[in-house]
Amino acid sequence: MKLISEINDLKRLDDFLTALSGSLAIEIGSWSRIAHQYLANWGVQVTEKNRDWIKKCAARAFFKEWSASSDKANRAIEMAIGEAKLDIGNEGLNTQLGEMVARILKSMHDGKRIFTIYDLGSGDGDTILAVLDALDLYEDTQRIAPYCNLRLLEPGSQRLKVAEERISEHSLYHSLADRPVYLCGSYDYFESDVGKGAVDIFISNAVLHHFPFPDHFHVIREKLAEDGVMVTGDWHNTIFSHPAFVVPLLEAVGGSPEVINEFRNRFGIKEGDRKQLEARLTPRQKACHVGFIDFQRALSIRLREIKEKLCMIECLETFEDRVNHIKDAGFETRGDVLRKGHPGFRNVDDNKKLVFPDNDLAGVVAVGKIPPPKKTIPDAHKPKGRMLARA
Amino acid sequence: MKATAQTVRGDGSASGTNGDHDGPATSLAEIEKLNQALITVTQGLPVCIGSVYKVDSLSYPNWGFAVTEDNIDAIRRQAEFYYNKDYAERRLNGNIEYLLKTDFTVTHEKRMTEFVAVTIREMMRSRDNGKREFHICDVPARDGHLSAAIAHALRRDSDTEGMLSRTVFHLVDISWQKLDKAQETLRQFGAKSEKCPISDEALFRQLDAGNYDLIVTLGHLHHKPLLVEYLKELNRILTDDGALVIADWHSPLCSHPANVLSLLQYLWLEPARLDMFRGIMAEQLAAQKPYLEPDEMHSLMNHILHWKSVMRRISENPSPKMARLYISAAYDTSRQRERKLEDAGFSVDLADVKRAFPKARLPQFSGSTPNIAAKRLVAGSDSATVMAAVKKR
Repeated sequence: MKLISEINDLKRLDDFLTALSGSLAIEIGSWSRIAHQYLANWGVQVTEKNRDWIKKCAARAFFKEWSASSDKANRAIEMAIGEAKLDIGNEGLNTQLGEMVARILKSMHDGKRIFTIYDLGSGDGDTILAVLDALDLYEDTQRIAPYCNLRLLEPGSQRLKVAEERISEHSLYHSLADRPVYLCGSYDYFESDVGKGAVDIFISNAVLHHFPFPDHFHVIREKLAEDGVMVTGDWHNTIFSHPAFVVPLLEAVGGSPEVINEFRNRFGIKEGDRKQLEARLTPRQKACHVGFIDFQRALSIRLREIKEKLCMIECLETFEDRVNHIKDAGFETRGDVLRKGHPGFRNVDDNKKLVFPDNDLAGVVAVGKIPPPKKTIPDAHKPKGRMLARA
Repeated sequence: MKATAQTVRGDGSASGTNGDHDGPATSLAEIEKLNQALITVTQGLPVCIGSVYKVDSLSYPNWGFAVTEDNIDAIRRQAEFYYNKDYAERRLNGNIEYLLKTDFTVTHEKRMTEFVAVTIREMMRSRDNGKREFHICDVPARDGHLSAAIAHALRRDSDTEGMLSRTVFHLVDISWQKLDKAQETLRQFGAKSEKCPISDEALFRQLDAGNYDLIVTLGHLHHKPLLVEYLKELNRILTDDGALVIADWHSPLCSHPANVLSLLQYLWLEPARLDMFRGIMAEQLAAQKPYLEPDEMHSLMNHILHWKSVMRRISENPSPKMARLYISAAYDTSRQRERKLEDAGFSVDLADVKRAFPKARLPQFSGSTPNIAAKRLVAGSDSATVMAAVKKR
């Protein structure tokens, strides 16, 4: 397949996908929201010239979909997640994340330091609540609450309000160092919100699969303290890594044979391509496709009932790709190195945890900035006690 | 209908048959008349009072009737009838469960679930010898969320992960559909389960003593008006070194008609209907209300606000198939629950629970009473509480 990189060609690709799936309850959505490393498989070449344009295009597409989604559509998503038996995944991600943060805080707590915990895309507070719940489990971790400052950023004002109400009812609420800060804004706001080194622990759940490029990890790292920690949970999938994998998805959401043929022709997908590509996946990665297709099938039925529309493409990537992107941004991702070199990881037996034993759908990873060794004066330069006494 | 004092034991059994006296009504005809009159007050509305049989049997006298040896079986049958009727309505109208899922209930149900999961994990850790099989009864299993949370808690800790393969979850629910989903959810965690698709009471009757190592229940016991006898059954089917971990909603809402009247006023019930309620409950409303502790008062407010949110959700989600939601249920306070557990042969003394699981790193329990194995999850309120109980020795 010939790669395209000119903006006009890229725009035409979006137009093609929109026209092709416009009649479906779940449209394909914008290709710009595909994780950047997979774009070549979709015939798109990322260049220095078009990179920023693609990022903006993805942000616009996300915002358009996000602002168009109604309460009804959100409820349909909730129900479809349940029907695809994935509902335990989100809770699993949050509890796993909460438990990791509590362990890290316990190790870093020195009775003096106030920890700023920043939740990007807090939604209605599930993730922060999971952290508070994990702290609330034991007396020694309950004592850390007075040393925690919470900062929540969420683009939806209604959801933020719900988060505020829910957090205020938590049994640890009155123990917190200060009242939590609730900020209504998108990722752009985060970029200008806090200064370098201001955040001690950065958390985020089921949000980062909306970013096609991993640039935000550099920004997060910059805003973290010298020994800052980032704990993120997210959904993972390879289903958008190649258009051939999208064919069964289109079939599941009711795409007609004509739609599927046109899609195949546009991306040059031949019979047997998918099977060949699937052979390269691990059984755990293949299982993720099944879960995602079940979810989208259930969602399309729900959306048809309420006459609403959503898009399917998201910047999903494999768990390994995610960890590599985090590593490339300068974080230490190796569990053994963190356990030895980072004060927060002493009690974290595994810093990369997948929620389900048979698939990679949902995973949490905790990483850190290894603090530089404390400056010690070499013995040879140390003033001798006797000399001091003479002085 | 008079409501002068009469002692009713926690299990609803009474001291004798009722003769002609000024105490609470005991004849079935009179109780049924009261029940029907109360049902009429909110007839045709989406939020209804529901049957008076479903309130906690300890509170029956506050509603003007009492349990006797003669009427207890009939009252039990009636309470079961109305519970099953409400349950069937829920199953037929999926909207009901959605409407009841307010931010408050969703938040604290998740929290209770997680607290139970960690408690069970620690109890199992204490008992584990590397070979032992664990049998956990989840009643009612619903979609399997509580069992799945336990499985996930075991999986999260590398020390306990191996125990999951030696654990069998016994899922009790009358809905096959829910059990299928529960089993599938557990399968995702690699956990073994057995489906028990009959009512909890019917299952317990079939079981020998000492059947389960651990019993967990979430948001269920407030549907048992005669709770002590139910708890006695749980006690019987537990192994001698077993434990019961209960997560439930607590509230004094249905303990007295005055509280329900406050709710109805808060929900802007029409004046004529309010007057009807006042008329039926005139004597009970005139009598002194039982004293409430501040945390119980808080839980009453939480409960009223929950119904206010439900009403808002109803108005925001007009559905062609009108959902009917019922207020009455056997809610009690966590203090009353502690006593009921004690009456049923359990100990909720934290020292006893710790002694039973010496190697467990049990989460911090901080209930209404010090040294009780109870954890309250809403700040300053009795609303959502998790309790751990072991058999009295």
